[in-house]
Amino acid sequence: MSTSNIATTVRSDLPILRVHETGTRALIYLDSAATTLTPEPVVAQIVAYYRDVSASVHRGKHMLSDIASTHFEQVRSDMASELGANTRDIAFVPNTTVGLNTVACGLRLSADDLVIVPIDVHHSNLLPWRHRARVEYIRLNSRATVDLDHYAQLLRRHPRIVSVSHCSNVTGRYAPVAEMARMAHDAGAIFVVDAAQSVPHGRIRLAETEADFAAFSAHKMLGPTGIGVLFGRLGELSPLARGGGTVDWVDLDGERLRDSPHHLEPGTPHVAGVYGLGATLDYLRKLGWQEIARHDAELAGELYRQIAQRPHMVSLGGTDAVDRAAIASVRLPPGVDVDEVARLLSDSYAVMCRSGKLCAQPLVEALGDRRPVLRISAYVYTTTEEIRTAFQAIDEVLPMVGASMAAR
Amino acid sequence: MSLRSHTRDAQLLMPTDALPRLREALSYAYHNTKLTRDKFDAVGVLPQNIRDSPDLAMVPATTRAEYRREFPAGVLAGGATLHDPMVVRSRSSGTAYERLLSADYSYTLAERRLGALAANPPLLRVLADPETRRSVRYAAPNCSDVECALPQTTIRDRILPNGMLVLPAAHDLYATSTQMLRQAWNEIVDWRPDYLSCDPTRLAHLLRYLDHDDPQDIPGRALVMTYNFAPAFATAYLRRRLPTGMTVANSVTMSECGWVAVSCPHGTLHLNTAELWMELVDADLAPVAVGEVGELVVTSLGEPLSPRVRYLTGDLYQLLDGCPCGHRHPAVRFEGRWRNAPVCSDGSRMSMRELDDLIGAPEHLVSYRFHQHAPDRAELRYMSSTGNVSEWEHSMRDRLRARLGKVCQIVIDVTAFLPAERSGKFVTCTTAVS
Repeated sequence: MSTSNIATTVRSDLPILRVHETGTRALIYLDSAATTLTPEPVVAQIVAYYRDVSASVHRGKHMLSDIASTHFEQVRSDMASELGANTRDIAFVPNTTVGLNTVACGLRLSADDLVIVPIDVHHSNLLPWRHRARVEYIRLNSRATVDLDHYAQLLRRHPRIVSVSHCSNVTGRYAPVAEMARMAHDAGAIFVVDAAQSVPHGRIRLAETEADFAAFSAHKMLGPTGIGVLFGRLGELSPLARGGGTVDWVDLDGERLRDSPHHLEPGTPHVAGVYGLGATLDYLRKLGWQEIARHDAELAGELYRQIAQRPHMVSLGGTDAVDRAAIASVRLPPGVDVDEVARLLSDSYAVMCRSGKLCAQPLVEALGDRRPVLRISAYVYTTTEEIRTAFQAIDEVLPMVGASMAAR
Repeated sequence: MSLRSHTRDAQLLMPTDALPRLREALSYAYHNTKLTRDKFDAVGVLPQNIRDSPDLAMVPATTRAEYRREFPAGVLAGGATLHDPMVVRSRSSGTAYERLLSADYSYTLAERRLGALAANPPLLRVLADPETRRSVRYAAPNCSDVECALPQTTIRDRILPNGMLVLPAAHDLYATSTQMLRQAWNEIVDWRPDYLSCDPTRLAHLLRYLDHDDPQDIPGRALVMTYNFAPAFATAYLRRRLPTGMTVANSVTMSECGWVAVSCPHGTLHLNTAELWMELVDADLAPVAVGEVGELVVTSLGEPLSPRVRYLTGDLYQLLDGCPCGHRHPAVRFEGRWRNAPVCSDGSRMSMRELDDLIGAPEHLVSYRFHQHAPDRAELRYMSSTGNVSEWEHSMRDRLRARLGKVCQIVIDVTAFLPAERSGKFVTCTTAVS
């Protein structure tokens, strides 16, 4: 499938892009790094679960529970195949944040343990560590990716954990995770990857990164909210929560935990979410991971080309689009209220993009001037024409809010 | 249903002397079970209308779903209960819509086993030997009613009354922990079985694990490869590893029919027509000719508890033109499940066996799994002992496209893991195309 065909195909499954209530303008959705749109086949599978099955998994012997369990485990198998992992390595979690907390809790860190993280990590990949151990920060280089020399220096302090963002949700830059994993392992550290922004864009073979643990969310890759995947040596993790579903045996004296990954899946899981995740995986696989990555590169190229043509905007992490997802965060001219710009783009131009500090406040403040930024993030349904239209809208809005268009 | 078009020449599998038993079986089923009576009545046929083999075509076939829905009240002969100590209850390895509960008297199952084994005297000698007291079963957890997948079960929990030890097995074959593999092997050594009854893919995986650092001889006088399709990569590995002198045979068993077929000493599979009335039919339920592939339809003979009448097994077999062994049981080749056979662009189906023939057993191949997502999209993932083998991948892509159709895009990828079905069976070929 050619890259232009990808967007056409996906858009035909997104009624939200065909009809929009704010007027005659078609919706341009550029907040995909937060949550993506959900195509009809995924919605249909979620509805099918509630309509035709509804039962919980791994509980009863009745037929509906068996059907649900079979499908649930089939999705796990499919996911394992796609990641290059095995099924014992895959747990279903509510989202990336819970996945990373499960790792941070499950490794039983002590306050003396050292965790090192690059400064570009999402809060969800920072706070779980900071509340359990000492955290030190890896500096970024001029391209806003990890400074490998500084990383090597920090590794000499014998960290227990290295945890990184595979792809920054602010700059769209990919970290050299395979190289970093090798360095971490050489130093005896466990390597953890926040893959929330990388897997959706085609970097699916997590097992090849040599990460010990990684997590990502379905809702950033056309899937439903409330379901994500934790990948890794799950048998080494003690559970974040205990209860039904996590044990093989309970008596008055104790309990015996179930084998991995079930010991990390307490309570009735989000079965409909897993149905939706399965449909999502099938949908993306049908588009083709390489084609998705190519389309993303094309979008990133257009995104940064547009920014480069506007000297009054400052892109966090520079304007080259090499090895970068279609995610860009820009600092607008001084005096401009970025939240107001985002609201105007939405309500007057039907362009949805994100403003704020993007749950990565240390990075935004380090690369910026402490003010919130405007983030434009595209996905498989986005066209380069939409990106151009969005920037034209920004061009119209900025003078209206008093922005100086001089170069910065 | 036939996979390839051949000259049509209706082939009767059954000896004529089985006809009286068939008539008796139909009459018994009609008068004693609701499901059979309802099906006969629905088409206005009575058992006495079935005078000769071709008349059987008047009788509607029974599907797995019908059997499941009517079990037990509608399929057990009047007055019979599941509480009888001679009743063996079985749960099929299938899950969801494929699952099935069934029941047989233990002695009819023994008779079927004996009938099937007539095609393989050396194996019969081992299995029927009074000195044969111990055996092991190594298969998907759902292939036994013993919770062998639970880590806390002891060896004592898993010994069946007939002296068969059910070995611990994880649901997902290639995700089996090394601890569980080691435990399975230790139990084989401790139990000293007279014969082994194994899923060949699972046993090959266990032996590969052992061979990695601790190759050991396999005990026992015979190996029965059963419970699952035997792919070439597994049987080739086992052939290299098994001690000379060990009797090795394939058998096809079904929880609802017992021993359906067994291979003779020549390696050819023979249908058990001693105790079951067999038909191999196409989609229109017409008999297939020699060389063709058809679905096996079974009618039980002399079954007093739960008679099956034209039971659609869902299993495909190719009818062969005899076997050098000369045994009277029809010679066939097992082709896999009908529902797993990918659909080709010419409308024919490629059976699991046909795919397996295409793939073969090259030295590097540890395992594989083929899945057809859509008529124009499929993937072949394989585990390899030498990493990816580009030349082989190119050649496989060409050969698969030649069979499936040029429009079919095939992704071929080496992987460290291949998932099993939730039933625990590892299936080499599946399709999402119905």
